[in-house]
Amino acid sequence: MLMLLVVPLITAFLTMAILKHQKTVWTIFLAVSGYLSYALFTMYGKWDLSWSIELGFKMFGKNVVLSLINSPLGWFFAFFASLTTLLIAMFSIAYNDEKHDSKTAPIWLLLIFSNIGIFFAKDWLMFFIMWEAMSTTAYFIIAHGKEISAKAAKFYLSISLIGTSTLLLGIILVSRLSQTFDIGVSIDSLVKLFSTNYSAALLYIGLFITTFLIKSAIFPFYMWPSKAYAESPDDFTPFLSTVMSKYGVYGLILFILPILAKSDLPMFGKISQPAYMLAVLGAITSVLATILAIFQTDMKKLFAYSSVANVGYIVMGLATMSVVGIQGALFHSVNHMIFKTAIFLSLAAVIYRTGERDMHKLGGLVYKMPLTFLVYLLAIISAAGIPPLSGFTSKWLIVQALMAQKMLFVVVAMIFASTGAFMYLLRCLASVFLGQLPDKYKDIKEAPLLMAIPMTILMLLTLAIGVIPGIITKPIDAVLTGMGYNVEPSSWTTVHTALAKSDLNLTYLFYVFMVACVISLIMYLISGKQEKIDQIDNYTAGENPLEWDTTPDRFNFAYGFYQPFKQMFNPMLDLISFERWMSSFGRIVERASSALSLLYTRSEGAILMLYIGIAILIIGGMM
Amino acid sequence: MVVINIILYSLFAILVGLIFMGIGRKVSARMHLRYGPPFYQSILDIFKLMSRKSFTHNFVMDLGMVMALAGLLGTMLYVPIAGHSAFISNSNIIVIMYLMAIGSLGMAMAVTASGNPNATIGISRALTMMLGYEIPFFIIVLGLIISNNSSSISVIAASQAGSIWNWNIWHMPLGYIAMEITLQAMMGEKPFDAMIAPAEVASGPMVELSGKYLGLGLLTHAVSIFVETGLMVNFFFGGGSNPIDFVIKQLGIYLIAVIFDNIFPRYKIEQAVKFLWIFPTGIAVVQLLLLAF
Repeated sequence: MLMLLVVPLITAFLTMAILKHQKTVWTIFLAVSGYLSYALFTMYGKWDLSWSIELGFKMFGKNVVLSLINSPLGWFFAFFASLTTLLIAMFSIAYNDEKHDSKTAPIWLLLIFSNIGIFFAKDWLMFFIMWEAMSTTAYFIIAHGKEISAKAAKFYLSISLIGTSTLLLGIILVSRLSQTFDIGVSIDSLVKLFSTNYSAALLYIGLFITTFLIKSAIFPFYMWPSKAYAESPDDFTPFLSTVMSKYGVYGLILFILPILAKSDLPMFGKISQPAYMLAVLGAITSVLATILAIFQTDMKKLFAYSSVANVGYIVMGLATMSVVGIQGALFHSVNHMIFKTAIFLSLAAVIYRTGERDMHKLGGLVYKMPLTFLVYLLAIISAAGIPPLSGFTSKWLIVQALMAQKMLFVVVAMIFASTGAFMYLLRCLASVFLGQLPDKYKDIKEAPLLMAIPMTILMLLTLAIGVIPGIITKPIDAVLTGMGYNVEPSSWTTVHTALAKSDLNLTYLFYVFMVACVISLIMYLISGKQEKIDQIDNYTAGENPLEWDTTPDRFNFAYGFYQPFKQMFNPMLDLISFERWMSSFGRIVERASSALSLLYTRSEGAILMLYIGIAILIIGGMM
Repeated sequence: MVVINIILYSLFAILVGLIFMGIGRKVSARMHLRYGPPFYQSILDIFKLMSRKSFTHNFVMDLGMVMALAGLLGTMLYVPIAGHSAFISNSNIIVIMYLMAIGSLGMAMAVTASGNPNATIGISRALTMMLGYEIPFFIIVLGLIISNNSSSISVIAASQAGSIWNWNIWHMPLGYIAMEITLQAMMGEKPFDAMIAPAEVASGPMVELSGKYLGLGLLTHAVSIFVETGLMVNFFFGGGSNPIDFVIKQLGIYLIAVIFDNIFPRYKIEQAVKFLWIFPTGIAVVQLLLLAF
């Protein structure tokens, strides 16, 4: 158990010593993630594994203990996170050549160390130490020595610090209440507090929820990913978006859900009010992030907002508090790791080859990078939730759970977000991979082999999980049992819901779709021959655009892709524009601070301060 | 056995869809005081298009067109036809909604790959329109699911069995009105045909398609007509007692759409989305609230 923490920690310091040999460093990084994935794989089912150390100083009458435990929930997140890291690591070896080297491997190893710690922590002290380590190390990776990235990273860090402070405050309050740092005990004591002092208990869990919402970028903290994800190193963005956005989700499942499930709370329809509040936050997040994603022109920003929207779905699923909903949320967490990693890696391959992040400056890359295109295509089919790929199953489960709990307007928000997802996913597909290939990219090559391997694995993984959902639902059974829910063992092929006669056999769905494909293919094959002609041969009627002083790639319709739609939303976008809020906030701070500085820079102010000081002294002395 | 069933059902849907298109053309012609082509004209068109030589720009176009037809055929197989379907399933509505998207994705991919700006503008409009009509459509579906406590179309259709007075059109008239408007947008008929708009974007998605690609596109459209009218019959008209009854009901619904198509001008895309989000959505929400409380 301890080895999981020791190995990344030691290699982190080891690799710092040999930072010059980048290829070796990244290979070590790959080896460590491989080791972690293997070790975690062998740990499945051994739920009695634990480790603890007693420290010398006392608190609440006992020695302070730092402890780790292998819980099904922690294992579930840790295993899939390390699997994702393994694939990204393979990609990173190829990505970090002389030109793109970000030199972040040692810090990343520290991040993995804290990652494991968060998922296996048994007490609040361990959890907090690891949480803090995670927030800080991520800052250095996002910054990675670039000025513009450092700005984004500062933004991330300041938001993160708010989250860590509320977490610290929450831990202090809760452990004072329960007289111990153990997470399980603090859940019980909070449940008790809910029956005696409702508003205090709400404040306590509110502090924790704030932390988790900040880390998962749920409304009202939805804005930091668009900066941090976009400016971090291209191979780190998938980790940031898929693994690190799940810490908040993990925290919610670990701590908030058991409390809400066990406490006696005022109800709103079929579920409790705090849970409903959470669902509404998730719904607002996914709708808002979807709308914002549709209008982005920078592809990394677009998918940053898309990640925010996806975490919104997960929160909606969790808030249903039902078996199907939590199953869907956990399933979607894994799916999001898989398809979003595939998307970010294929885009990283595009950026690696072209050095361009603006979608409208690219185009027609399908001719040069067909494999990358295929990976991206399958990943967006999965992300849009289209069967027979994996994203569909989890979205379907969440929608079914929301409908069974009669959360009517939340489920409409979910459908809005997932239909809108279709718009931004296709925007990137059309602008980057389809259309005309600009002349300057005439001789770029397919992604290198080491990049192609992890991308292909991810592509096959999303297909396999889509056809055989049991790969994920079986471990989820263990998680749900560990959380105290009564679950039937799930089948390999079928997913169940709470609604009557609505179960779905996904393997069958795949077969049906395949037969339909074959019919369609036969129609295609028996009809007449086709001839392949150049794009400009058809719609410019054979005339050469160069003769009219323009180039074919000017015909790409990419920049204002959803312009009419955007005009509809402009008033709303102005209203929620975060930049404007921040600048007005900045102005207020500036005024207040300059007013404050007058107190000690000008003599009248100083005399005033003196009198106030004397007055305080006199009053204090009298009391 | 199931495979043969699937093939027969697919051919049936394609044939019905094509004949509907032919009848629709005849009806529009009569509304224009023309004579119009025979009702089987669309079938002849398909044979003509499929046998001609055609132009492609790259493999994505071929892949996309095949994917579009396959997606729609897959969707059609999940729609129960008067209680019959090609294989045993729960005919889940959410599956149908998402499977239909694969057809749109394939079509969008194929025509964007052609590189013609008109086609891409058409696709961007089509996707915007999709966001417009999915919201009212889903709210109506949600009402049906809540009142039946099942997301299976067979259950919804079976709940209306018996007499004509059990049909949902009498139980939820507001839902029916909203669905009728939404269906117009789903089928891409006027006033919601901004994505095709021959006068503005030269038929949008179809502009680069020739020969068998246009043929596959027409087949896709035929199947989508079958699916959309089929959903309507199952939701509001009792699902039909036998396949002939089912098809006649479908034809009635399709003809209403064709008549509206001929008497309305075209909305701009943002007007269409606003309209869809205000009127059908509003009506559907009222219906949903009536059902839920």
